[in-house]
Amino acid sequence: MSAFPGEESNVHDLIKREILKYADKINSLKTGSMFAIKTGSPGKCSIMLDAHIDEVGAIVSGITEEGFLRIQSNFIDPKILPGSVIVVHGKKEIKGVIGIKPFHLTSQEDLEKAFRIQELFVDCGLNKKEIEEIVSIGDSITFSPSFSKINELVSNKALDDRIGAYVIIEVFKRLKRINHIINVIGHFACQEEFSALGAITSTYVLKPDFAIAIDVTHASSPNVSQKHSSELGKGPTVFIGPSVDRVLNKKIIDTAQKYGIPFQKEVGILSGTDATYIQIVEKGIPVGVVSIPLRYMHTPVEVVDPQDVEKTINLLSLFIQEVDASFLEALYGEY
Amino acid sequence: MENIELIQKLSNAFGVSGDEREVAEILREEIKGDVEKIKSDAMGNLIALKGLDKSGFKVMLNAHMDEVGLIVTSIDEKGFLSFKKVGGIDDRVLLGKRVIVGESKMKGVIGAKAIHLQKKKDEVEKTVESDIMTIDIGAKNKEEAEKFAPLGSLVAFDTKFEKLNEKYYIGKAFDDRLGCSIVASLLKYSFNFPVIALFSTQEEIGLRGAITGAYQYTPDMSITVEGTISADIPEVKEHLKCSKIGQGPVITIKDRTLITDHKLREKLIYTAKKQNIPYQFKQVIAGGTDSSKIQLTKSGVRVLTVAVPVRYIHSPVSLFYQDDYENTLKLLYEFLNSLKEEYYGTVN
Amino acid sequence: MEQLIEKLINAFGPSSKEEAVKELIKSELEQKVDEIKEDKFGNLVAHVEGSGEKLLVAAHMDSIGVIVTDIDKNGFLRIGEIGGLRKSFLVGQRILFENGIEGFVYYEDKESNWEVKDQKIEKFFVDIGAYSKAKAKELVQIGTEGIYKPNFYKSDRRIIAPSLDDRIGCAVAIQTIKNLKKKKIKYNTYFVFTVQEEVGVKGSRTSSYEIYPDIGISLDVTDAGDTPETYPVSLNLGEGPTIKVMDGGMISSKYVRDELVKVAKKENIPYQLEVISKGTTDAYAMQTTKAGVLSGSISISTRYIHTGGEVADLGDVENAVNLLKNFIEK
Repeated sequence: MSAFPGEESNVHDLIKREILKYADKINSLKTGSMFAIKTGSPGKCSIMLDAHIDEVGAIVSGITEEGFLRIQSNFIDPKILPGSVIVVHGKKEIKGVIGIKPFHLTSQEDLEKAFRIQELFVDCGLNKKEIEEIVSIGDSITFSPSFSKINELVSNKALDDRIGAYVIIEVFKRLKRINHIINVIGHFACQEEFSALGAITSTYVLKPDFAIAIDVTHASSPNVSQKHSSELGKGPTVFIGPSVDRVLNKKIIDTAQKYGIPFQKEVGILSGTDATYIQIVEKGIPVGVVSIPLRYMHTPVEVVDPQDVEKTINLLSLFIQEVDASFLEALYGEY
Repeated sequence: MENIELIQKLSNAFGVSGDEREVAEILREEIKGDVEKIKSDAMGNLIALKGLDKSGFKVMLNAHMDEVGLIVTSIDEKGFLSFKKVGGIDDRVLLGKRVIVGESKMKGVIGAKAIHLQKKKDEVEKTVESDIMTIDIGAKNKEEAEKFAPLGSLVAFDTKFEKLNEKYYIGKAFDDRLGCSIVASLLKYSFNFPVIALFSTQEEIGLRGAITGAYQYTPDMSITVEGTISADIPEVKEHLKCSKIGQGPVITIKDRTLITDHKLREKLIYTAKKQNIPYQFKQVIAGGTDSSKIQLTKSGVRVLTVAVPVRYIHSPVSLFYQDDYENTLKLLYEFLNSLKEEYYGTVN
Repeated sequence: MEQLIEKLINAFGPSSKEEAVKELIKSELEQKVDEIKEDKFGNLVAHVEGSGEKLLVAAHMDSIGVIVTDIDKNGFLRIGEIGGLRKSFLVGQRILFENGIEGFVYYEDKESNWEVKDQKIEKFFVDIGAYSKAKAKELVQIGTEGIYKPNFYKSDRRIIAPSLDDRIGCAVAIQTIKNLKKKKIKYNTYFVFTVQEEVGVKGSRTSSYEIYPDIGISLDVTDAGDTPETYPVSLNLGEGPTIKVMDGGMISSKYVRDELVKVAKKENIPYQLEVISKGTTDAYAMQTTKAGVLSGSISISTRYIHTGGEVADLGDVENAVNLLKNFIEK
């Protein structure tokens, strides 16, 4: 499924189908976000679980005389584009290749220069007239789906943050068998990658009492040191820092420890997720961030460990179950 | 000097962005007898309301409780702590400084390699970047360090407030504990209008607390009281000194985040002239303040930013001059005292 | 329309000091709208009633400029930026200050006195011909604002002038209002001439909250890509107003973009689809207001934005008016 920021309705139907049996209410918002609600009992407070359904991509910014497409993107490192297969979302979906000059014709000097986005183009195998019938400036481009199992790990495009959406759907399935006192809102946010439009406007509409953003975070790999990242296979990360709520975090960590769920700590100032924006909407609400470690973010070959995903689902479901009156009082008691 | 104990308590308090509780407690104690309601919110802001029975335009007085500091990001096998900076800090002020770590308030030091051990020229003349610095809390190993300074612990400079000579004071966090002290002092008076005091959080990491605080209790006009850049030191060109110690409260016309309200500012200057209070303008467009966020609340708020000039903000030791503090307090008091309903239209 | 644009160009109005522009627009619109007033933040709001959904059309009155930060002992002025000043284009500019005083921008040329090497604002200064600090202080103060001296030139169908950003947007709004047929108006339209866009889309943010429309459209300029050896952008002068797809701050609502394209196609109005990577407009603030506002933008392709000589095509301006007018009418 493809959903460049602004086109998230492509994914709505799929999510709706999956979550329908487990939610009491489902709705899409005009901004492109959608949400599902499961009422709790007594259901006086609500938590919003937020994951974004837009993915990184590019936009067609021009069409050359020969029928090649020029592209623009604020999200992708252009260095990963040469040699990729991408999908152009015109009147219909067509495939294209981002190719470059052959090795044999490139000077030694040029071999060392990284490509900038304005120097790249997409070849769809069509001439100008043919392509203009299908594609126009402003059409979006996403990576071609490239799911593969690498040993025990899983790789694909857009795990950021479809994996978060998957977690929410699975949590809803578990909620059917769990007693929970709070209402649970599953928010599938639009445009997180660009302007946090979904997070900001949906929080205004839904007015949750507190929220947890479920996103992905950098996992270590060669050139990404362990000091600055988490590790695959060691469980979800809990974000710790000045812009998340202390009491909420303690409860998440206590839950993990109580049930023996391995987790990691990610320390930072602002989390780079929807949570940063959700926290300051209107009067403000307590927020937390739980993330799934992921390698090679914003490339077609993002990698996660399915075990980490499973543990994240467990952690969040149990957390919701553990929420009781005394926790809610501690959360709001200070004010 | 008036308020000196309050300033001392506030300056010494631990309040790095994200955990301003200690500062909020001190302020709560200080103002509880002077205001009608004290509230908090999800961001940890401290909000005090006074004069609720009065009608007319609501005035907000704002200062931020948080200070810049560090946060522990990882611990190595030997128990040394690596960190990130919370707020904007020049790496070059960090080497060889004493710090206080975490909720357990452990003492520590940011170690610096002895000069005897530094290779010639290269190492001696290069700056050390903060991401290779470490904090030493005297732990024997990782487990011991984790017990006292778990990941995510906030770290503040370990600087005690003291008098530096007749009228100069040094300490940490004058940006913006001086503002907090001034706002708390102003709450001792009654004015002709309702007053909302917003002691905000997370200012140093993006002016965040002010956004929610002003949304919940929205004023018609607001004054942010700060401790601002004074770079009147050697090696700085005349036009880049920003403000000068001894020349009185610093009035912002424009900074990186806002242009203050022209009419209100004219009235403020008129008050200064009438009451013979020295004042100066912020002469470098640098920094940003809570007022820029309060300004954009709902349908808009008219804002001013007034500050005490402080040397060496965002470093372990800052310096201010007594008269500047007192004149800032005096200017704001006189200004608020003279505000009438017609302030929108005319200067006097 | 060129007279209208010229009048707007000549009005003094850097961010936060838009009074002269406000007065001019007010006088142009008196009697032509159902209500015109200033809101709490200083924006000028002109209301044209209609029975349908609420539409907010924004054009910003403020231009970029400079502000005096210091007056040295010899009467030279030091300046700070108002909005995004392109430093490479500042030295050599004539500045007009709010009280009519003029000055010339130069730089500390000790290191290289033939070419400006170090483009930092603190190395620049303005000479207003004062021979002492005292003399200079009679003419300007710390905080006095200035703009690129207005200089309107028309060559056939093209205009060269500073501040086309965004006086040209204001002109489009004004002309649209004048051309609207009352009976045909589909939207309940608020034309907001915003303040302080250049320093953070501020006027747009507060007026969007206040009015809270269903749909928002900003009128602004956008970078043209038709000059020698320039960054590839498929926007050319003379090929019609642009309908925004994406800019540096937002992605337009698909609904608004498609509606505008529909109108353009139906009325045979040339248009271009805009995809740029830097810069944004008042629509950026509208989009995230409360529960969200479906937002888009109509822009005029303009060359050399934020310099003393912006260039745009009158045909594009007239077509923009046509597009907006037809969008608002049934």
